[in-house]
Amino acid sequence: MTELSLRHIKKSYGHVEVLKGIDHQVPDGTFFTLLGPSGCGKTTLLRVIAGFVTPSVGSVHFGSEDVTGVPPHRREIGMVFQDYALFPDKSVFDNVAYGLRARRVPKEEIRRSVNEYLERVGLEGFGERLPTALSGGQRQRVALARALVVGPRVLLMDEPLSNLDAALRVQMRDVIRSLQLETKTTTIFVTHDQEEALAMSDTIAVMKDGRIDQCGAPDDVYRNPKTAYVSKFVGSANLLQAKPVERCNDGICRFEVEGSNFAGRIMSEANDGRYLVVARPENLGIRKAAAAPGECELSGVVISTQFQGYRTSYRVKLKSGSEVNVETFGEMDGSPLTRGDEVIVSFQDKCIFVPEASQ
Amino acid sequence: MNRFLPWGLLSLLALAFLLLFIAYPIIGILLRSFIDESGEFSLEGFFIFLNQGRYLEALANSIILGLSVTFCCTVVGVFLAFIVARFDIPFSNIVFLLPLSVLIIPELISAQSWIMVFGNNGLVTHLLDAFGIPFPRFYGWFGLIYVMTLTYYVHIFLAALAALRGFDHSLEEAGQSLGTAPLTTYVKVVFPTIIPAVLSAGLIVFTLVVGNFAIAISLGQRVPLLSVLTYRSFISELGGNPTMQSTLATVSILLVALVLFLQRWYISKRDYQMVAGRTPPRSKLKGWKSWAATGVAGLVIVLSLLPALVVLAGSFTVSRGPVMYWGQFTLDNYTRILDFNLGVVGNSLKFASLATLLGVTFATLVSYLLVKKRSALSSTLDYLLLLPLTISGTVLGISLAQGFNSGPMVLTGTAALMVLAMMLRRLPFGVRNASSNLHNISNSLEEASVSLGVPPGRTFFNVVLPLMAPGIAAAAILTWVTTVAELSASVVIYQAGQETLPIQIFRLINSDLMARASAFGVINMVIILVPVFIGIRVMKVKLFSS
Ligand SMILES: Nc1ncnc2c1ncn2[C@@H]1O[C@H](COP(=O)(O)OP(=O)(O)O)[C@@H](O)[C@H]1O
Ligand SMILES: [Mg+2]
Repeated sequence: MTELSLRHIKKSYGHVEVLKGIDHQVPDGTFFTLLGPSGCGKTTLLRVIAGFVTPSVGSVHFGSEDVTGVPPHRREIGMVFQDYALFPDKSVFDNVAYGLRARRVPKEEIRRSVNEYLERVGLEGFGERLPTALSGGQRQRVALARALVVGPRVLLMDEPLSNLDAALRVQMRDVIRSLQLETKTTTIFVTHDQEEALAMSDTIAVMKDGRIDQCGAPDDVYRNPKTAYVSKFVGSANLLQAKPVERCNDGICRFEVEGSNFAGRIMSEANDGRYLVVARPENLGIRKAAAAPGECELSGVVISTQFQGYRTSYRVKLKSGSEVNVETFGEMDGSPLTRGDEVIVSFQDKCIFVPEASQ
Repeated sequence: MNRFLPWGLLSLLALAFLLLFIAYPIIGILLRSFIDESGEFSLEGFFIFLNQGRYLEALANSIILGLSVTFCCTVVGVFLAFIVARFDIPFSNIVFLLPLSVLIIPELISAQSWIMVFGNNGLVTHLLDAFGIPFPRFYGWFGLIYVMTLTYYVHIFLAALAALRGFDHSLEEAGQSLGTAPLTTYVKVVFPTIIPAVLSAGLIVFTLVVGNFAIAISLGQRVPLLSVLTYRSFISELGGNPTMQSTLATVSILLVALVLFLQRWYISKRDYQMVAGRTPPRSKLKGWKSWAATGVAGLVIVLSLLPALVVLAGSFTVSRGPVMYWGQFTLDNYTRILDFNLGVVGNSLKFASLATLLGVTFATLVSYLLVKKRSALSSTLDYLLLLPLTISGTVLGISLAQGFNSGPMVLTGTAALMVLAMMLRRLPFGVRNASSNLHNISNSLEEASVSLGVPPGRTFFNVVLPLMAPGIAAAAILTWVTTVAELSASVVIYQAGQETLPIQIFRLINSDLMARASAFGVINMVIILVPVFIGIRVMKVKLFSS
């Protein structure tokens, strides 16, 4: 229904630039997540989209309509807040009906829609209760129903799950995602929890200091981080300094890492020629040292092991003194590794290279 | 730009209102104290103040009275709080009605009733006379301190009670475990911890005593006091020497401002937060101690409520001039009101309703602006709202009358000024009451409403106002109570035909017509009581929560 586009959005408070130029398109009906650490400007961007914050520069478009100057109450949005923001003196039914009444929808239709949405979020029969008589998860369901029942052009959610406990959070991910898919509502979801972002989104935008560092599908952002920052913020990553040794060939470049030869793809060019190799722990191989390390391999000593059932984590101290994490799944060939074992860590062919300096 | 509307504009309007009706008159009166009749700068007013003995004497008397009453209130208030907090006495529930009694019985009526008991024609005076025992003259220091203590001790009682309740009992136990006797423990450990609260309330009592008009003028004929002198200078010198009125007003503003400043400084300096500890258990007293504690507490309660009964009895009593024929009942006092003075009741109702409506609307709006829509104007608004606290009703009345008797906006003599004066006095408290729930209302609540398509203005009415309602109701009731009882400002500015119940009572007391005054007093108390009763009983308003 509505494609959202953000064009060159900047926002300053006094001399502090909180948003430093955001350009992005969110296709109609997608679940778009803004992921980033606290203070990077996620809420500000969300409030710019809602209209509660006027951007210093740039424009917001819903479809073909420029809504930059439109006040929030005329933007036809839905919002879900971290603290639920349910009207405490109104019943669950009245909360959900609130937006419909503002739109002067006929009474009978209001009753029908509200009950339909209460059912959708699994709260049929809760209409008469006051919000105080609900649990946190139930309150957030009411908030979700309240935001969606009006058929918003864009649904905006600011860390809606962070007040819930861990188990409930996982459960609510499903509730939100499946409702979003059913209603095909263009959704902007703000979170600082990478697991949440990966699990729910069509597209993730990783934000850093008022900019979008990288944007893409969850598996793309996870597998192909373009910066060291993204590789660390989304999932966990081992980062080691890499010196380029040869011009690239078919996108594969050769590097020297801690004295060994490495090859892999450069994700984005470093202006100063300094790179880091990025390897996810689960992409690393580990075996007892029998011979000298070969191509894409480094030798080291196991300094700790953690058996976690379906996987085992190792912490390995390399010759240079840096440490890497390795995860293996299932059973190891041969005898298990223990502390103090000399090992070879194999980076295989999955290494990627990112610029060392953030740019 | 659209962000400035509508809240910025409303802030600006509120600011303009306060500047015009509070800052302008007060600054005016301060300035006029430095200007002589020819309009030149002069210190003549202060010169006269310092050199004519009666002014300095009045200042000294006011300060002495303030200190004495504060001292007596502290003794009574702390003692009563101590008994109520620690001991299981028979009628401790009634004690919690005491703050209400102060609301319901206006200080003027309290003064009147005690005159009816101890005054020249008083019940007790006559009784003792019959036995040949001369009663000490009630008018003067004795009467002033006695009635004012009974009027103001509740402030200290409440402060001390709150402090004693919050006091961590384990400290006291620790003291006792070290081998100190319970009473010594109390003096050494408990009392020091309630001193900040008591002292802070004491300073407030001091400012109330210094600014008091109703009791001061009814009982203080022989003791010149600053507030009475200020009033008389205005009444007798209308068209006379305005410099002296301004100078007297300025002196009392400075005195009260100084004390309030001291109080704020003291609060900010002390760590006023007490550890919320276990509420200490209330113990049962035995033997003579029980009788003594119960007796003293009972006496205070009886003395606090007695005025209402005396006035009620007096209103049905036959009288001829100042002489009351106790025991002979009549309805004359009421039928007279029905026949001749319904206008007075009407005035009171009219002015108080308007003042309450205006005051509560203003307080609601301003508290919302100050808590939720802070802007560059907010801190100025904060400060302007403190101003009414620094001036007594008399000074407010004079500054309004002087400020609006000429120029582009002439209000002196209009009913509007009466309403304004009544409303302004209560405004700081009204704002405090109205904002009591506001801090707990999350901003996202309003944003949720706006995001659902309801404009900000309508969101305020739909979402915020219902949640503010308990605070607004408390503000409305308390504003009503104080405006219906308002005397000191309105008596300065009223014109013939604008008499309110308190003004009428005041005039009748002056003429020593106590029975007739009593009938007006009873009507006054009923008008106060009805909304308080409805508020507390029907609407469950918490009047003393903040
Ligand atoms: N109204 C404001 N005035 C000044 N600074 C603000 C304001 N709102 C947000 N900021 C600043 O902007 C930065 C980004 O804030 P925010 O968007 O809330 O980050 P996030 O939601 O990612 O944690 C923070 O440094 C914050 O202090
Ligand atoms: Mg945030």
